[in-house]
Amino acid sequence: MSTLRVMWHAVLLQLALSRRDPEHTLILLIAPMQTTTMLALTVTAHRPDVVANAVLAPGLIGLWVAALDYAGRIVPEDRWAGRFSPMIATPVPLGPVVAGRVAMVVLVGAAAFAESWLVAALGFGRVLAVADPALFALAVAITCLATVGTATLLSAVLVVSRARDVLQNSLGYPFYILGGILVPVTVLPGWLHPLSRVVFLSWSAELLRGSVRGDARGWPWSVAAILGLGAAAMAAGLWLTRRYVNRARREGTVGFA
Amino acid sequence: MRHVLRIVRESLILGFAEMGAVYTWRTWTFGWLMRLLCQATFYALLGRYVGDEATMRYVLVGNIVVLACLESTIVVISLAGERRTGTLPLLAIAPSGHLPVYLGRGLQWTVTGLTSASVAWLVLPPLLGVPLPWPRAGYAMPVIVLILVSSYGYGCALAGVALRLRGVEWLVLNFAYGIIMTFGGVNVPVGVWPGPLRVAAQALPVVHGLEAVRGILGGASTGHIMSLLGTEALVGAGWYAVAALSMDRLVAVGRRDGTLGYAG
Repeated sequence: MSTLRVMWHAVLLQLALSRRDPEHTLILLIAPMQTTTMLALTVTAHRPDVVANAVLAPGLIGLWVAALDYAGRIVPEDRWAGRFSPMIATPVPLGPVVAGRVAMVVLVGAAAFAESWLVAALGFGRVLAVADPALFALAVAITCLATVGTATLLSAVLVVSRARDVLQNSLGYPFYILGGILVPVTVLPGWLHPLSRVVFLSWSAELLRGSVRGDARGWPWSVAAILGLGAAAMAAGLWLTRRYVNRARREGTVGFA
Repeated sequence: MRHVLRIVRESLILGFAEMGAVYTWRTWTFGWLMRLLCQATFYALLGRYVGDEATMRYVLVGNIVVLACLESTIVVISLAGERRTGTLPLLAIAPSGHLPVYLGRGLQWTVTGLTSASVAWLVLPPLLGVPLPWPRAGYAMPVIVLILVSSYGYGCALAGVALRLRGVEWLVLNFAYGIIMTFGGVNVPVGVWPGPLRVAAQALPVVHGLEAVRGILGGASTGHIMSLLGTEALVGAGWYAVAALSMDRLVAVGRRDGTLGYAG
């Protein structure tokens, strides 16, 4: 079975599972409230130039929550539900299965962009116009791809780590700050800038805002950085997944819940 | 009274033992606490970016105080956990009755909430360059305790929803404190919202207590602050009443039709 076909079936599996779990809609519940909070602050401060930040940030948060929250749950939940052993026994590697399932959840996370736009338009009368729609669509697409890569890595790290809950609860806001998703990285202290540059969100946030304003200079570099960081995370995630699956097989811990 | 204190003690022991399965003091400090500090910082940075130092201080104060509410509403997850593990009937047959035991089930979150909010209160304002006026800022600490208590009642009341509609506890928790973060005067004054929302916000915990905190920092009159504190206490008492009615009904119906032990 080709890798893409494996991923497609993984998408269908995740779709079937998510339909039975109302908590998978958490992102869609959070996004409108976050948009309202951020926009209220922006609008009352009379800063129309920051409206784009407030509308785009909940979308990026949605993607990160999808990566961190759901990706980290895939293997542990499969273990609890008794799906992990038959999954391991199939002739396909686990990595593409995890990536496919994450891709499905990331698509739900990406819907937060649309929700956020609607809240701004209907709730605040601020219709966010996109000056460069083609670049915006490209930015959203590659950001989703990078999220799938990062989520695959996070999924593996969270399975290997003994502190899964701690990491899941802790890795949100520090990355929102480092990723400059609301307040640009340039406003942060200088010593944080190098750290920000290895977080794909920082490139994505700048590119998305640039495409909305129509002044995205040097965008090919941003696209390359987002894809490069996403690919590196995906490669590391697949490697780590293969490694822990092999270890579980060797040590006879596949069936551990 | 001795019975209640004993239940509080046992609840805290149980709660912290449960927390110990997830956190060590190091992972709590450098993981969870750091996350909360970053959350308050995240919104404060937006305040500074769109406004001035005063805006940043306003947003920062709101986001520090709301941490107490955020943590105490985690009681929703603790109570839903009892449903998931099928232990609600065991708690219901306690000699003291189900109510004090159920209401005590997330008390550890009030302790961690007070710790998180206090650390943030001491550390973040000077770190972000918007120091608070001491010793007046110290007088706000008891108000944060009151907010914590009223928010805990709010969390217990909403836990009633999570106990009935199974598998939605994270949605309920995020909705519970998300509504307060959005409309509770945390980032922008309640007055900016349309009339009906403004009226509805008066029934939320945090709203009046946070206004009292801002009043203390701004040097408002004692009478004004005391009236805000009275309203916050009243709102909290209202949520405890809702929680008590909700849990009474849950147990009564569960006993009658045998569903209290369903894990869902």
